[in-house]
Amino acid sequence: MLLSDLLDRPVLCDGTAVGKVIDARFTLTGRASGPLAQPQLLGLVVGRRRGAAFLGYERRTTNRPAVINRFFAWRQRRSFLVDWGDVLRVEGVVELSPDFTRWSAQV
Amino acid sequence: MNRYLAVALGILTAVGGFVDAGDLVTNAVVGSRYGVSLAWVVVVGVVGITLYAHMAGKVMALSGRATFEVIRERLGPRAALVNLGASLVMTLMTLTAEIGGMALAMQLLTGITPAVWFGIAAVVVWLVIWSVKFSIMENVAGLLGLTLIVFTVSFFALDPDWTVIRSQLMARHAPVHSLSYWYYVVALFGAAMTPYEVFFFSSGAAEEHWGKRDLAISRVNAGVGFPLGGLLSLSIAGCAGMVLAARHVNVDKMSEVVMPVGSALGVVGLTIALVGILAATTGAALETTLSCGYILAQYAGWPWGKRLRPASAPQFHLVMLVCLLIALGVLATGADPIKVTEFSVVFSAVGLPLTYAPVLIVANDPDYVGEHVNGRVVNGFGVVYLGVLTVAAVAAVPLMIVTGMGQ
Amino acid sequence: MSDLPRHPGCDGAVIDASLHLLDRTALDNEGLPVSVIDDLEIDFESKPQPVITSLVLSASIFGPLYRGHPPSFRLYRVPWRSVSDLGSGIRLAMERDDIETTWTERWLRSRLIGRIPGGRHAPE
Repeated sequence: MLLSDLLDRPVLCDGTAVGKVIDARFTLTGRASGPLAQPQLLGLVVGRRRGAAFLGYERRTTNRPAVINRFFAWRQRRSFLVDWGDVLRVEGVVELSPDFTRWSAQV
Repeated sequence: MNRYLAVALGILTAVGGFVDAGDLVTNAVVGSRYGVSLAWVVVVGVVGITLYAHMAGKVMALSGRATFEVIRERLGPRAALVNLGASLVMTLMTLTAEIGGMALAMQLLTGITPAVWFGIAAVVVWLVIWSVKFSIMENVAGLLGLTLIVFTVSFFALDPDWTVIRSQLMARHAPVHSLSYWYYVVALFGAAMTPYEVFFFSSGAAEEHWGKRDLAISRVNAGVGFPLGGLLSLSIAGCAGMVLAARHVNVDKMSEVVMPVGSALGVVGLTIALVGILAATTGAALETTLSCGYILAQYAGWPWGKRLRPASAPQFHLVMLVCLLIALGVLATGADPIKVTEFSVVFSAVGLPLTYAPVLIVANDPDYVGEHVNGRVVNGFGVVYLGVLTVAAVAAVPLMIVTGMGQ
Repeated sequence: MSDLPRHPGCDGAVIDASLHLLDRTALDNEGLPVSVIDDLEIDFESKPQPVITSLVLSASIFGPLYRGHPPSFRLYRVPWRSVSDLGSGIRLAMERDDIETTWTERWLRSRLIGRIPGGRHAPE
């Protein structure tokens, strides 16, 4: 599946809307595939709207200028990371298991 | 080359290269109406361009990523494409104004009609981009542009009334209730902070192979060069204020821009001024043409830069060729280069926030600049400027329409 | 947002696909820009975790104007094993001419720019 198909997909839990897929987080500690390890999916970053995430402020070590950072952090205050184990399916709509954990989306 | 010599050369190039057709015309127009009472706008504009040009250069030197790559990465391809379209239109407009300026200067030097010179100017610009080394191109144009100092000499030679000048500089009795006044504030802003300067400074850093060690040079070039360039702009306004205002000249010809120098220093001064204008507009024509190529290639992920041989960057060179042809096409329709210049500065003002916002953000991102993130003071200024630029951008077109371009 | 617990997996090297890979400039083995990363191909069937199998390079600068993406056979894929470095640009361990998206560049070089005198000459 292409990433672009996954992004902006509605995320549901028990039928209730939880947000949208705004990103997919991968670890680089797996098997080597060429010079770099093949990225393995850690989880999905879920949030309200992808548009507001594009500057990356809500997740990054970048936290300056303070004014802009605060604005975007506020806009994305409800974004979080969901472990891949908590995802039941990604076809069509992303379905999370009822007892999924919200992890911090901070990088 | 000796380090100090290189720095001096860089500063002089920045000074001579600061002024382009937009600055020439806008400062002359403003000067003829308000003398130097809009000096504060030039100061604010110079500080702004110095800050942002350095930021863009820093990002390039430390990360190898150019302004439009950054815009695409941070705003996403769709918003960046819109930004690209707007930036291309603005830069193309400015390029057209510069070619026009070159032709007008040649007309005043030779008496031959500008229509002949449009094509020659475009060919010269293309040939220089095709075959002349970047640093030579920059240094020659910049140093020759320094002859515009004749405006500063003329200013003093005209024996200004210092009480009047002082009160103008303090912006006392500035007609702040007049919409035309604010139109010219926005226009002067657009002329001082034209977006292509940021694209060019950033890409130029790559052309000159700047790395971490060169950050200090970039700071000095921008920090000393641009303000001195601003002084040249003010000299143009000051001269216009003293000579043209009294005669109620409404500046709409290049000959009126240089008239004060003629009054002060005679034919010799006039010739020097025209050489300066030719150099400044030629330099700016080169820079805007290159900027058109830079931004499109950087957005698209194509190889770019004069440091590559043309065969290695074919799309980049094709884009520049097409842009020159478009500029020629516009001028061939009989458009008045002065009018094109006046439009270009207003539209530059409209586009400023689009260019500057991503630069400010990325200059703070350790992924791009490592430990050299902006300090608090720079960020403070940067954020304030963004606010001011956004206000100017929103007000630009309405002001232009309502005041009929400052009537 | 900041009061959520930190996932243990985030302690190592992590990349967020959209933030770190999407819309980045793809560079050839010499560091020159080659294309833009338009998309990623993820294999969700892979065990134990889904993996990124390949990068998708941009086919046209007008791509963003269209909704959705081109059909599979039109996608310019680069396998992940060709990625040699992840920085502000994504470096590929590939020769320029081996990357399909450079065909316009090669065409222009041979037909137009390369034919103008001095085109193959470096001004440096």
